[in-house]
Amino acid sequence: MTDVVALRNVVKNYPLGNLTVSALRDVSLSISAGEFLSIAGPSGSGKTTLLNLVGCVDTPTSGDVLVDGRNIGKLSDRELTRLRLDKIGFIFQSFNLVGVLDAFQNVEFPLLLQGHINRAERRQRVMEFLAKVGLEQQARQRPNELSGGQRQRVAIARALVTRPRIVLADEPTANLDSVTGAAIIDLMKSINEKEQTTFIFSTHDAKVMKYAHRLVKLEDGRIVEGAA
Amino acid sequence: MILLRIALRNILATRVRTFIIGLLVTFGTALVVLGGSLLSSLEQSMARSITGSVSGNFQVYSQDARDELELFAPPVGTPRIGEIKDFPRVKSVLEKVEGVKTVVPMGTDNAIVFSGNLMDILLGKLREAHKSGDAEATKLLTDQIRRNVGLMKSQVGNLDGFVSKTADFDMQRKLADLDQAASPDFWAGFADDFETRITFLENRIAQLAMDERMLFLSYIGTDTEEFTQNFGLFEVVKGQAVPPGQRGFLFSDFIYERQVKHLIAGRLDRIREKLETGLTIAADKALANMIQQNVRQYKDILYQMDTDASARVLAELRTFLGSNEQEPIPLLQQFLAMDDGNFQERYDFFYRVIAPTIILYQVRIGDTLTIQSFTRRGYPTQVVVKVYGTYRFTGLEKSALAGLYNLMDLMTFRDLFGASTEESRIENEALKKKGGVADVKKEDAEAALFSDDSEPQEEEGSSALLDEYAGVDMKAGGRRFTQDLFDKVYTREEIDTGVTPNAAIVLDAGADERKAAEGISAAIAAENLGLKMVDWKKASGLVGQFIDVIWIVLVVAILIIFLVALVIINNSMLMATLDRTREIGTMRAIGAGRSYVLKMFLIESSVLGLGFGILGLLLGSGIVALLNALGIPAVTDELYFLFAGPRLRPVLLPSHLAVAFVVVFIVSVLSTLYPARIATRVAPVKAMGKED
Repeated sequence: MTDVVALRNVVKNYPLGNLTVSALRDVSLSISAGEFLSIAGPSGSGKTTLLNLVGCVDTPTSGDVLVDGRNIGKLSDRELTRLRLDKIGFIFQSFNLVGVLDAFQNVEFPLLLQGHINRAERRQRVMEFLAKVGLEQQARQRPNELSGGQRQRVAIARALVTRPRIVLADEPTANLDSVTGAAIIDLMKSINEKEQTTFIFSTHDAKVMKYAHRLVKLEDGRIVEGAA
Repeated sequence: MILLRIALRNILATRVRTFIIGLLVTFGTALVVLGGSLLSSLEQSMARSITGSVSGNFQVYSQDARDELELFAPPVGTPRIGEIKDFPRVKSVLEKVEGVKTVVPMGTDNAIVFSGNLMDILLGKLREAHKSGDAEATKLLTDQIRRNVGLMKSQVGNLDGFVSKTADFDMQRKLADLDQAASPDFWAGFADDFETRITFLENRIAQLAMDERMLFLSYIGTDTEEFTQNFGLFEVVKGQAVPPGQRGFLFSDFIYERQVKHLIAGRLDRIREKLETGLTIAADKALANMIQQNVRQYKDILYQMDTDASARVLAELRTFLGSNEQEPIPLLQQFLAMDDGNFQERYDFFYRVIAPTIILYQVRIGDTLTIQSFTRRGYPTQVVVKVYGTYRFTGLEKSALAGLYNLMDLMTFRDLFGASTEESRIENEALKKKGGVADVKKEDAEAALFSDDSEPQEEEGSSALLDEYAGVDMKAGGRRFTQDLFDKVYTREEIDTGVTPNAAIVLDAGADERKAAEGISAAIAAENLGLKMVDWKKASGLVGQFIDVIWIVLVVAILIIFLVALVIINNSMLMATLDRTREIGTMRAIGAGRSYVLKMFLIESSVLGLGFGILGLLLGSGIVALLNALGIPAVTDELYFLFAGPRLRPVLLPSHLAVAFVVVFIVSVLSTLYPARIATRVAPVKAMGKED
């Protein structure tokens, strides 16, 4: 199986006042296509930093991050944006739907950004993914008219609608109750199995970790388990 | 499409912000529309007033002028604007320029006209009546003079005790003279000792009357024929225009009614006019003041009536007022103390009964007028000119500014100006031969003024027409003003040749002003005419620049409003950017580029700007339409002139809308650039983590 993501000796430092905080210290990790991978660890262990690097919203201080075979440290902002748009789907801890748009429009948004898909196909794709997350009936509802679980499902549909190679989820269940959270993870898992989409999610919820094919544990900026 | 939706949703989501920005943008746009419309309408009406009356579209004058040409400057002194060299050539060159209809020569100046002392006039009439043996007139005039002297005596009567105790011998002598003239003995022997006693009255009493009035007149000397034909607003009110080619004077009807007319009558006219506009004597201080002035100036009525007339008028007045008052002064004062209730009937009584017995106009149409002025070299001079009538500019009849200038022919103007015409030069030569007087040079002027032996006036034998200044001026003052001169018809060549301080250029109707200006400038340069050209705005002085001042005020006001709008929009968009950091971060993470974020903000502010801009356009247009329907009333004389009539009706031009639209668009885009730039810098990382 090919590696869809590869990290080699990645170091990430953040300036914090006069100090430098090391979020990742010499991390190497390979993720294969179709994996359902969980990143776990306590707060401040570097989970979010790792996801940001894989999600191409941040670049490493040193080392190489390869996403879909491309070294993101060597790409321009414009190229990174395009890479995110075409290859990566995001599921956020706080859902991050655009409040002024309804569910349909939120899901449609990345397709509009891609720009080359016609209206009819867009519509068909959006409805297909809303159906997958079970929200065809709520297509015209605005985020504030939806429950937390429904919002996260809209976010999942939005993340998947471009058929990305990788879906990143940063604590996708943190803002949900345990039942809804479990349902969301079920949904992600089933899509992973049907579509062979790579899922990488961070969590510190032990119940959620159980679903993962592989568990990568981080502590103090280093991988302590599951690096292979 | 989705961007537009996001923009609209954002605008609707933040109502307070939208309301404030909307208010500013709407108000600013409306102001641009309204201000633009008002000012360009004002400019048009002013152009109508000024170009149609005095200035023409352009004025030309000597490029060596020491002062700037200011047609509507306050009438102080003679502007030193030099003279146009070789006017006939200037005229022929400039009239060939495309769009130029004609070139009218002119000059402006000020002069003083004395009304003459009433006592002097009466005594003069008495002498004549006596000489011709008209017994009835002699009696009537004698009675009137005696009555007036009696009134003068009674006026100073209450000062008597005080003055007699002073050491002012001059004053004491005057009082003694008055006592003598008012004594029954004086009049008992009047007929027998006519020459001695009338001389006494002329020399000692007339000067005590002090009822002379001075008129300060501003006038334009011009080719009257060309002027009347080419200034579209010109119209004769009373009398007739000056016959082509002849000497003559036309009063501005405004001046004639305000200053030449009997002061009390003139005030009554003005009070009536004001009452018609809804003012009341009770409430308006100015009107009450005018009534008070009338009461104080009863003399102007009483002294002018002969004794027969006054007996008749006073009798009618007693009946009219239902009064038993026998003394004329209290009776007249009672009559003149009018109020809102009785004004109209007393006004009618005044014109029916009193007016025919007094001198209603100091100068009547058809009379001659003696005008005193100073030549440009500073010598006093005077000319006599026939008054043909009065004129006004249509639609501007109530404007003091439009009525500022009286009109006279160019020949008379040159005489007053001290310009040497061919005619006066020949006459001067003759004078010199006859009187053996050397031409008075500038530096000798003072000597000439105070020397007794070099005055030519005695030899000229024209002293009847001259006052104490006469004779000093060798050129005009020494000339005889006879019927011959009034009847003489000057040729076009004669009129065009001679001193011409400035000239009005009148364009064909609908000619392009800018193009014509270029043509004229080019012709002036090419033919080396030595002229300076100014447009009507500049030529009219402060009045014309008034519009520029308002333009500046408006532009500054608009700038300030839009600057405030800019700052507020900028600020609130910046706030919105910070509020929406997460949303922007999310969009960036999902794959929206920086340009997309920029577009999102620009569209939002454009929608805001255009939406409220259009609202502002509608509001502004609505106000303009309303003002157009109602008309803005000209509440002062100045406004009357500027509005070219009683009301300004502003008109909306597409250019006003276009300008407003462009301005508001630029402002809204400009005010978003910085916040939008900040927004594009929001990192996609901002989408991550917990919500704040």
